[in-house]
Amino acid sequence: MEKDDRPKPEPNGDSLEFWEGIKSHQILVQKCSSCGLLRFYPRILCPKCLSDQFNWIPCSGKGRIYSYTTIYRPPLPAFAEFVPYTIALIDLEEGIRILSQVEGNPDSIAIGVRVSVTFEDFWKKIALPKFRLADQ
Amino acid sequence: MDTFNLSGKAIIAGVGETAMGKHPGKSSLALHALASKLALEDAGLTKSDIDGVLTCGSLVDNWPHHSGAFCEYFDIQPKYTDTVTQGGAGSCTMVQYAAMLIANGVCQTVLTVGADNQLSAMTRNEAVQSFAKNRHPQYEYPFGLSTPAGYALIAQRHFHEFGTTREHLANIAVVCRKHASLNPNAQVRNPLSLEEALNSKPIASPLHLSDCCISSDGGGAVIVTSADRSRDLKNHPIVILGTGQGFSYEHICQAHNITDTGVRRAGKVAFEMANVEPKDIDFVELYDCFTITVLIQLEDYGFCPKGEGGSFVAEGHIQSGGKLPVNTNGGMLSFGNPGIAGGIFHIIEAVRQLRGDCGPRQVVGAKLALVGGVGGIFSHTSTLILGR
Repeated sequence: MEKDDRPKPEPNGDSLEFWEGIKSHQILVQKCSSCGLLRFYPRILCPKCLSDQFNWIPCSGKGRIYSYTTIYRPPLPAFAEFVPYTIALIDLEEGIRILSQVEGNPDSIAIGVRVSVTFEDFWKKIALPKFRLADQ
Repeated sequence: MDTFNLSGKAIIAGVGETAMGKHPGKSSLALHALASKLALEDAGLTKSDIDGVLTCGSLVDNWPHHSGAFCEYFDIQPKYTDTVTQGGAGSCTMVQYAAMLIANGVCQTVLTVGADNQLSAMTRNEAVQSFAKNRHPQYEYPFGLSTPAGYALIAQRHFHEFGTTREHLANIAVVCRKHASLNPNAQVRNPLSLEEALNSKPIASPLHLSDCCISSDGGGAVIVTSADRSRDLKNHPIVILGTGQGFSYEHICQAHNITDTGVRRAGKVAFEMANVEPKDIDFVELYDCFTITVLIQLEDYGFCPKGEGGSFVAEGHIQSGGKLPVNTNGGMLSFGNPGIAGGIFHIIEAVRQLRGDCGPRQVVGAKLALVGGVGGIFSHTSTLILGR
């Protein structure tokens, strides 16, 4: 599937471990060693206390839809074959919000419904976290 | 800490807008230059009076120093020049920074200009894609988040929290079209019914095509000078009474509460500076990249209680002749929208209304206006309160 020309995330010094985690099917987020705040997306300093000490914590991958939209007009041609597809802001159990796609019938997707993570491995070097409707 | 009060120290001396629509023979810089010339003529000033130049960038041209490219093309060597990069909030912010330069005696007269030839130089796909690239390259763009989809996330959540409907949003598009029909320079002037708006094709649910701004070639310029130059001007000066900005986040994935925006902070600062309240405002020109953008601003500036934007619109208050006419030139939904520069026409329209120059679309007794700019997906917001 390397022919897929959808834009790939390009990991950098902040995000390498996050994307390595996704490749091994885990959502890793940073937990501040000083004040305990969980943060996403990954960055060098805690946005609350500015500590640069942190650990990577795995998330359960379970959460609820905060908002969503079903896209009919693709942002670029590489997405044309996938429309309509649904994008959502998902509030994970741990208190982290993440933007991703939600698979499933758009009619069943609503604010507040439970979702769980799944992973799409269509590139050799990088995977994407996606979500599907969980048992409600 | 007391903040320096800009109120009344700077005035808008002149405004100019080119024809709006498709102008295949005109480059982005050409449209900047034509708009600037019109604004100079309107002010009764010459190029040599200008000692500051601000621009807000281009989607079509990719100059590393955009204001430098424009100043070279226009052959002007101002004391200070720069480009404001706040997307659609940039137009209001250019005028704010011009007022600050003038109030502090750094510059005497500042030219602010925005233009682009997006309609001719880009296909629809290219334009959509160039906006989509503003989404976060790791946490948004790879998932296929378009710009309309970003605003759609806000709209969907607003529907959920407050019972807002597609009809409420469609009303805004219909009103803008009605106002455009009264404006000879508006790009799209044919009538739009509520039914047509509701039946337009879906883009990113709940937003449909009629909820989205149009695409144009065109340019606008606003010249700001010090209040003590009022007497030298050809037209009635319009006073900058209040300004404010509200930054929230660069990317929607980082928003804490997507229905409560930076507009509230921008408005609070601007209202306090101008020493007025929302009820004192005669009309508003609100950034309308999408219909939901207008509805949220109506609430967050305090023109109606939070969550009641839908009923405020449905009750007809935003129409010409209503309690608070909105986007009297037709807005970006119908008047025109040359990419990043779409917001400058809101300022130009406010100035013309305050001068009483708007003919059939004139707001009777227009004395006090609020102009709202929005950049990104409610990332940057920027406010002007203007008076005659």
